Parts: sequence; structure tokens; C-alpha cells
Amino acid sequence: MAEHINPNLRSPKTTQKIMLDVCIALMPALIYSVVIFGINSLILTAVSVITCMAAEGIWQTIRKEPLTVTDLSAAVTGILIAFNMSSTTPVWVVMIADVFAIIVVKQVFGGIGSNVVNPALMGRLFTMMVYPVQMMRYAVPGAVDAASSPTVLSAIKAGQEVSYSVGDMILGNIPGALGETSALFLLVGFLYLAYKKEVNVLAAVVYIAVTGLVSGLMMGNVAAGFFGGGLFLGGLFMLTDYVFVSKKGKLLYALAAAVITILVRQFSMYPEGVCFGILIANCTVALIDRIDKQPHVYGVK
Amino acid sequence: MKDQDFTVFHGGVHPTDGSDKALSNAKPIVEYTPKVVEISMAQTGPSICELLVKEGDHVDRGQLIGSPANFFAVKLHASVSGTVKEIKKVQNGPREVPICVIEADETQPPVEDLPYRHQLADLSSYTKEQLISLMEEGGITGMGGAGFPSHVKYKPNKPIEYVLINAAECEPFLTCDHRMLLEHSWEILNGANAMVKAGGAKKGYICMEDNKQDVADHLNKLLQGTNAPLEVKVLPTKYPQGGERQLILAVTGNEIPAGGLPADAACIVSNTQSAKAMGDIVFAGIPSITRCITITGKVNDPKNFLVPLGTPIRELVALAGGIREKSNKVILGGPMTGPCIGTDMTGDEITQCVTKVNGGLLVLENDHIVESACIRCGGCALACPAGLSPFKIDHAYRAGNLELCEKLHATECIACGCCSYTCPAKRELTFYNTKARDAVKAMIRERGKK
Repeated sequence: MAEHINPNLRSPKTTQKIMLDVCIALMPALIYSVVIFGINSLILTAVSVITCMAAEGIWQTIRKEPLTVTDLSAAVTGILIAFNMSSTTPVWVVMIADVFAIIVVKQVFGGIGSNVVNPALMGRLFTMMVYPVQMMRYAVPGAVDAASSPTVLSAIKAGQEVSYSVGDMILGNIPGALGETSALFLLVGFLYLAYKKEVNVLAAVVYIAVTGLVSGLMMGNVAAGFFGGGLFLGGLFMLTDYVFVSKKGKLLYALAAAVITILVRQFSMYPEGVCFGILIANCTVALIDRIDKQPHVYGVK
Repeated sequence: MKDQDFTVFHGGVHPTDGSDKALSNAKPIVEYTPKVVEISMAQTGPSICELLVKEGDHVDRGQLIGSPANFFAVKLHASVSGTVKEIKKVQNGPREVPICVIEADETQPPVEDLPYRHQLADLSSYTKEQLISLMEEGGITGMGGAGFPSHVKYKPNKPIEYVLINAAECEPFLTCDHRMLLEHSWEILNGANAMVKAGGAKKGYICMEDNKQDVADHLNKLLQGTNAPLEVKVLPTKYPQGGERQLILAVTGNEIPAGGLPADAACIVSNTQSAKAMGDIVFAGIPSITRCITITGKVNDPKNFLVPLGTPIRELVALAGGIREKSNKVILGGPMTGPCIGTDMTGDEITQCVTKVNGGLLVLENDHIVESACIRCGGCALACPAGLSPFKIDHAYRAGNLELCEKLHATECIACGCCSYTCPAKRELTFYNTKARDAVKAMIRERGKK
């Protein structure tokens, strides 16, 4: 192919810069996580990022594929995997999730842009199945020792009283995975991405609004429906991996994720359904893609 | 009620911040006549003229030297008075194109200063047919890049309501139309007026982006109190505002139906400098033998030049202070649609000469673009002014699925470059989408034959 192909001007935006922006957007939540759960949050996140990048680099080196580690998509996956784990999770469990996510979910399917489902969520789901004991123990904010407690959603599912105020839930002072509890700081990061026009706002808003409201009403605690679990982390940073071009496509996709999430929260043995909701919605992409048409092609009626 | 008098087209990009045009939009036009001009018989890619003179002939400025040999060509005239020194033959793809090299006489005949350069000229003595035949005689063609013969454009088989003078100049960096509108205003307005009559239209709009508010104010002042059916239209600065389809949508609110021509939307679109050429042929009898060109980018002193056709661009680059970046890419025209003619060039290595369609020569810093995987961000679909999903067409074309390309309306691609511009993965979307467009069109033609 010729060296210079039109247009001869290209925007300064690159995949790497977008991924870096996602990393930056996740920082407020990480910092707050260190404040409430301690330095372990930072250590797990750092280990997870390094493991993901190393796994991708080693895989591509062995396979003699072009190295894409510098595009930072593996770093984003690393942060998200850590964010989905309790700060008390053993390091090796996180690393297993990382390797599974990068190798099996991402690279085997062709790497960045070709994976069918979100690698971070699939990695998390894998370890949740294999190491349920280590995975389901959630740290308590501000606790000195490694105490664990049921999350807001599991407490409600077990019929217990919820002792956290709405303010605590929004701010993130509740038990949960290290990066999921603070709706507020996740939202701050998301607004940064929205300002940079790097996210799909419609899908995120619809997913969070529908899931939070419906499941909140069904469990009798709307605040918990919105802020008690991983809805903001999932909706703001993991659902919007794939962008549809039409409003209809975006809405259908967000609604598919919302319906699954609500059903899992309400009727399964699991208190939280965000992970399943998004992963299953990921699988409907090909289907929705068939009806996802450009709203209007110039000159075509 | 619309709260604005234009329609905003879907998508588009803002490739620069205005500093690009600022390099040269305040620089008055420099008139320059070289010692030797080299006039190509192929002024645009597909067009070809038959050369009418031979070595040793003396030609007068404005004398016919090339007669159209195919549908895309228009008449070609000597741009200087002088002697035909040489007929060069240059290989252009499968064709051998003659280039007429004329050595200019020491003294050129003066250009008479006629009233049409200073005021609205009277058109009442011309009929529509006379104006169209003058267009043909004067070799008037689209001077914005594609170079479609004007006399063909002005004989549509549909009634025309509006003539749009395309002064959008939406390509970054180029300022030649901007300067012409300021410094040769009446020639352009009179030409536009003649074009309105030639098209049988009720109104002409001079359409420009709002980065040329100075031009709009100036032209409005000139038009004040006249009865010319002309109106200045100021549109948002957004690439590709000057795309024919986008311009028609912006001004009339209507789209050209797929596969159609501007006439299907009751419009004819002509370039600013085509209007200037029209003014010259109608009111002064001067055919299309000059044009304004911007030499800009990484040159020491960016400038706008008004030159005879065939002026060697290297001389203009030298007059613009020469190229100041060793690691460069040189582009003939604007950065979005103009082809790159070479990298790491010195000014002297530029062999191209000015044609009717050359709006500029742009020197940019060299770069090295490497494609990476599509991250499905959807940015190209948001940017596409045709309303396509370039990433899907790209994917389908590379997978060899032309049927899917057709379903995705690949035929409607206008090759503006917005998708490639915006792509964070630096995929060559424009390249593959235009390939898909051409392949699908060929497939549809084949189907029609069966």
C-alpha cells in the first residue's frame, strides 16, 4: 500500500490516548478505594495491570504477532478486573483472572476490537466460579483487620436490615469490590470521558436508570438498587465497550443488559447481576447489529 | 420556522483550529508571470485535449491551443503570449499526455481595466444560450478540484431554481478563494450573475463558511442597492461544508437523491474561481487562463498567487520562501482530498504546473501512519456526512463481501476523508470505502448488463 493515503490530515486522537483517558477516568474511584479499603486496593490494581500487560505481551511474542501492549487496552482490563474484586482477594486469584481475561477472552478471539465479550467481566466470572470462597468475601470500609461483610445487595437478599445511609452508598462507604462501591467517584471519571466524547452516554444512562429503578423497587430499596452493587462500574465503564450507530441499537442493547441484570438480582442465587447482564448483552451484539442501521443515509429514502 | 437560514448536515469534522488559514488569508494576492509556462492537455485526471499548435508557433494570450477530445475536457487557451518552445510528452497512467511549453514574450499585452471589475455589469443583451456558449468558448470548468465542464453542467434536463457559488473553501489551509472574493469581488459577482442567468435560475447564493465573515460583509456592501439576484449565505465552518451535496443541503434543506445530480435538487453548484472565469469571458472576452493558488504550510512565507495556467509550481514555492521542513510531505490541493505528490522534497523537485483545478500546494510535516485494529468506537459513523458506517463497509470490503457493502450503501461515499481523519486506530477507512464504492458501482453496472 502506498505510504500516504488521503486524507493527509489525521486527528491527534489515538487508541492509546482513549485508553489512557479511561485509565485516568478510573483514578478517582481508585484513590477513594485506597482511602476506604487501604493500600491493598492499589497493590491489587497495580499487580493486575502489570499481569494483563505482561500476558498480552508474552502471548503476542510467542505467537509472533505485532505487539499491542502500548495501546493500553490491557491496562484498562487490568484496572477493571481489580475493581471487580474485593481488596482482600489473594493476589494470585487476581492474576488468574487477568491471564484468563487476556489470553482466553481477548487474544484467542483476535485481540483488541475482536473479542466477543468484555474480558474483565469474563475474567472475574471465571474466578468467581472457580474460587467462590475467596471471591465472595467483601471487605468492610475502614476496617482495621480483614473483616468481611455481606454487601448491601446480599444483605437485602438474605432479608437483613441495611444499616448504611444513602449518602454512604453514593460515596462508596459500603462493603463491595474495591472499585465498585463509589458511584460518585465513578461518575466523576465518566463525566471526564463524556466531556472528551469518548463514551456512549445513552446506553449507560438507560442501563443504569432502568436497572436501578426496577430492581430497587422489586427489592424495596431504590437507593440500594442504584448504589448497593456494581451498577455504576458496570454501566459506566464496561457496558459501553461496543457502540451502536443508531439510537434503537443503543437502547436495545442497554435494555437487554438491564433485563438480565434485574432478573439475576431478583430470581437467582446471586445478589448482583451486573456481570451477567453485561456479558449476556455482549453476546446479543451480533443480533442487534442486524437491525442497527444508520439513522439516515444522505439521499436515500 | 427555522431559527437559522441553513440546514446543518450530519457528521463532518473540524480538522484544524483556524491557524492553518491564518497563515495566508491576510496575504494579498501576488500576481506573477513566469518566463515559461507548461500547459498540460490533461487539466484533470480523466480529461484530454487535442493540441492545436506545434513547436515554433507563436501564440497570443487567449488563443485556442487545445480542443476537447473527450467528455471531461474543455477548451484550452494559451495563458501567455509567446513562442511554443517544445511539446513534451508525459506518461499519465496508460496515456501519453502532451504538454505545451510556451516561452513568454518579454512584454505581455496589457489587460484592459473594464467596468465589470468595479460595478454590476448589464446582462440584458445576453441570452441564456449565448452565455452557455460563452462558457464553452471560454473553457470554463469546475475549478474546485473535480473539474467538470461548466457548459455541460448548465444544460441539465431539469428546471433549475438556484445557482450556488461554492465559496465555502472548507479544505483547511487553502485561502485562494478567500482572497479572490476580497480582491476580485466584482468579477466574481458579475460571473455569478451571468451563471444565474445561464442556468435559468431565479437566484444565486454565494455560499461561504463563517470563517470568511469579512468576505460576507464586503460582498453584502457591494450588493447593497443593486438588483442582482444574488445573496450571500454564511454557513457554519465544518468540513466538508463545501462538498456539493452538503452545500445543497445546507442552503436548500433538500438532498440530492441517491445516484442523482445537483439538478435533481434544482441546483447547479459552481466554484468561486469558475465564477471569476465566467465574468472574464462574458465581460472581457478573456478565457479561463489564470487562477489563484495558495502556497502554504511548512514554507517560509505562505502566499496566494494569481498566475497564468502552466506556471511551474516550484517557482511559486521559491517565491513563498521555499520549503522549511526537510522531513515533509507535499500535497497538491487541500490536505483532506489533495494527493500527496512526494515526501522529503525540496521545492525544485516539484515538477507539477498550475492547472485549472489546482487550489493549492501544501507542505506538511511528514508522518508515518500505521493501521491498528478497529476498536468499534463508532467515531467514523458519527463523522460521516453521507450517514454511512465506514467501519462496517471497511470490514465487509476487506472480507470480500460486496453484497454487504451494497446493503450498507457504500455507493453513497463521497470520499471526503472524515472517517480516516477521525479514526483513533488510524485505519484507512476512506481508501477502502471508496474502493468498496467503486466495486459496488461496477457490480451494479454488470448486473444491469445481464
